[in-house]
Amino acid sequence: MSTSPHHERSRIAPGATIPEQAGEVSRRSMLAGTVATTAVAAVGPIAGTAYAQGADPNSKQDMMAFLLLSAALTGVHVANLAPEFAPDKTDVLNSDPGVDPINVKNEYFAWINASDGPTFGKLLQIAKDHRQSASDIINGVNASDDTRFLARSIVLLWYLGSWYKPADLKSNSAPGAAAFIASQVVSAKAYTQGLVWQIAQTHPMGYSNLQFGYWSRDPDDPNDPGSRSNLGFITQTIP
Amino acid sequence: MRYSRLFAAGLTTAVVLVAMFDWSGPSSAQTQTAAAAAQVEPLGQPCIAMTDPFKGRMAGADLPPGLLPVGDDDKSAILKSGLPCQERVSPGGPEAIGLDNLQRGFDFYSWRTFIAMNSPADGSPIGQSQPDSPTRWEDMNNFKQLLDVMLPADMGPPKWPSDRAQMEAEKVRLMPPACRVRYKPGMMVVKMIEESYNEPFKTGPLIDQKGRYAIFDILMNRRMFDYISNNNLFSKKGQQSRANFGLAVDFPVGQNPDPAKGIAGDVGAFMLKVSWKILAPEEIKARNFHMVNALVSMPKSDDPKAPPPPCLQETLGLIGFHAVHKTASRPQWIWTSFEHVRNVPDKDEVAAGKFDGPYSFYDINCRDNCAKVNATPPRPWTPDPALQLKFRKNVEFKSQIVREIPLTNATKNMNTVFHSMLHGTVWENYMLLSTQWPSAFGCTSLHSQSFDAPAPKTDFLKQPDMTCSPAPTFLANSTLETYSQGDIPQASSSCIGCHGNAVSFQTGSNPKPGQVRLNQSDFTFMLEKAQ
Repeated sequence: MSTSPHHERSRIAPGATIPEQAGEVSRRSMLAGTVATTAVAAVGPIAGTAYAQGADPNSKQDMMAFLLLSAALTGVHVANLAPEFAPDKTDVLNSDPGVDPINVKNEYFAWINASDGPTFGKLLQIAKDHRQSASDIINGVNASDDTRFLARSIVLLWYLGSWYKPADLKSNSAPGAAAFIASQVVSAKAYTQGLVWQIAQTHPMGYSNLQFGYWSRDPDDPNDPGSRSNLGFITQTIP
Repeated sequence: MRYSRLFAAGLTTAVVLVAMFDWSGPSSAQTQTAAAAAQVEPLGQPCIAMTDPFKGRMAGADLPPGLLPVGDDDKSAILKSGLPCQERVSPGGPEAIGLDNLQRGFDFYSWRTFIAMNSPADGSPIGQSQPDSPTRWEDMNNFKQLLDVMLPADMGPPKWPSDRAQMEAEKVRLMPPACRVRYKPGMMVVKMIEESYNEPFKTGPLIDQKGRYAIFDILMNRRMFDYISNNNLFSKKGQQSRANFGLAVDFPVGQNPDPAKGIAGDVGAFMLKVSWKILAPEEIKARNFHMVNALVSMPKSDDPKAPPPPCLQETLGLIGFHAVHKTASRPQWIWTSFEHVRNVPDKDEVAAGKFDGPYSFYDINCRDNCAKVNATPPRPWTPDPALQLKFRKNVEFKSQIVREIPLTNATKNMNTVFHSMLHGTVWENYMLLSTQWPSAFGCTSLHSQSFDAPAPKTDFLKQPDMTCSPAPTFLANSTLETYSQGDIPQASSSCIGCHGNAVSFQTGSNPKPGQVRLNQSDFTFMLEKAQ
């Protein structure tokens, strides 16, 4: 069993699963590997330092910092991470992250904060300090191993709805390392909300909101600016 | 409000053939009502856009101080505002968060819809309605039963004349013979099929405390009927015709008037699903339900040698009411759910032992001999004609139903406000459960812009997930989605989530690469009932 603080499941995510058993090679595991690789590539060399403060789940500014951090790390627009997000043009940190019907962002925030609050606080401070630039946020994240590997866990959490412990990611980060990394589905909600499903326009096993016959036509390219899909997923700008 | 496999029932207010052209039939009062109704403006005309005038936040545990009583001007404006053609909502407003402001706007819209639909058919104000006053949605000029549209091939295409006598003639034409001989003008006629007593996904019937079946029915408005009729979607043959090869079903949308853009108001497509219970004499006397004098045609037997199903005369009480409306800004439709306040307790009330019964589908005195909570009845479920609409002859079974998801404080407060305005009428016995709506605005903007003359196409072609994040995520009516309540993704009742899977009999495969041949049916299972 994992030693994560989330063993008290009822406190945060009643639907959380036990970590996947080592030795299982599932589609999820393969996707995890793919996304982890992407995250590693995105989190490049670092520069600068950041002053860390604790993360406050009731603070709109902390939630906005989390969304800015997440947008920079995942490449997905804040408005897709937080559908009821209402921007403030004077300072993005004063924006309203909003409350949406699913609200998975709050679940993730609480989970990460319970996992490693101090390091999470550092990440949020980096996002606040560099809120106008995704690349500056990534550079700041890479400044130290603790923030870098927690950031990787956050990328995986958004994409897969599963928690990969930063320490496990770190211990398997050497070039050529290919050990299975255990993970834990955070909740039933997280299982259905992985960004990988939305971007690939497919669905996790046992859950689909896709319309009948969707498989009979080509998916939209979320990078295509001429598409009428309006998905607007991939972004280089903040928010 | 997961629906699903459609229902149906034909039901009608028709006239016996002899009386078709003789309005001096058995009930002069009802004849007068019908004559008066003929002069009332159609539902949705004129379109009046409106936001709630209530001060303060509804989302708290208590009503804002000073909100009650509602001022006379506000009350009059709301009760007379008619059927909304489109919602008017905003994330800005008195509530602390945008989602609550939006939900409040939709709940206000739902109450306006409920009042407009259930106001007396003769055009008088809802404050003057009696428990047995025919409502506007029951008027055959406004809504038509699904089974009177999806007809057997030998009955020809459905008709919905504008002339009231011809409407009656069409009703009588479609009426089962066993009912025709018992029919009197003003009666409702319910033609039962499996979906009239078996809940969505064939999860089972609902049995009241008298051991009798609850009955379900589905109706559509003229805008919806016209689309089905014009596109020959009322039969399997029509749906599968070459002309409909590749048709993406796209019902007309409701929208508020906008003179600057040259947009006239239009109510768009509306569908209703209602549930009834058979009232006992003491319930009729108590007058706590909206009630109708009905003929219920029992389901046909699968045995071709069986005699025609009997037709029963019953007084039915309204227990559930879904109103579903497609609008320009919500192409996933807006899903409104009401039910009678004495249907069932919610799980919090049961846990606290705080009851406000007696309930129609829960026995508060039951101890050891009651059915398991929210359990389906034992099989067989098909009504036995010999027992009429009683579930069992010797074995007593009564459903023991609990509402799994209690109402929010905001909805309870909204109900309190509207109940104060409806005080003294039967309608204060009905409560809004919630309104489900698609919350992802970027997603909903994908709809086609052909508002004036809705073309049979849709912009959902490029949006594989067209549910657009329903809010609330789950919604169930204790009488209409009894056995699919809860909060389990994909399993528990979500109106939009379920109806996003609706299809027709159109050809769905792609005969050539690159050609789109959808057979989705625009969030309604109605087209599946084509014969």
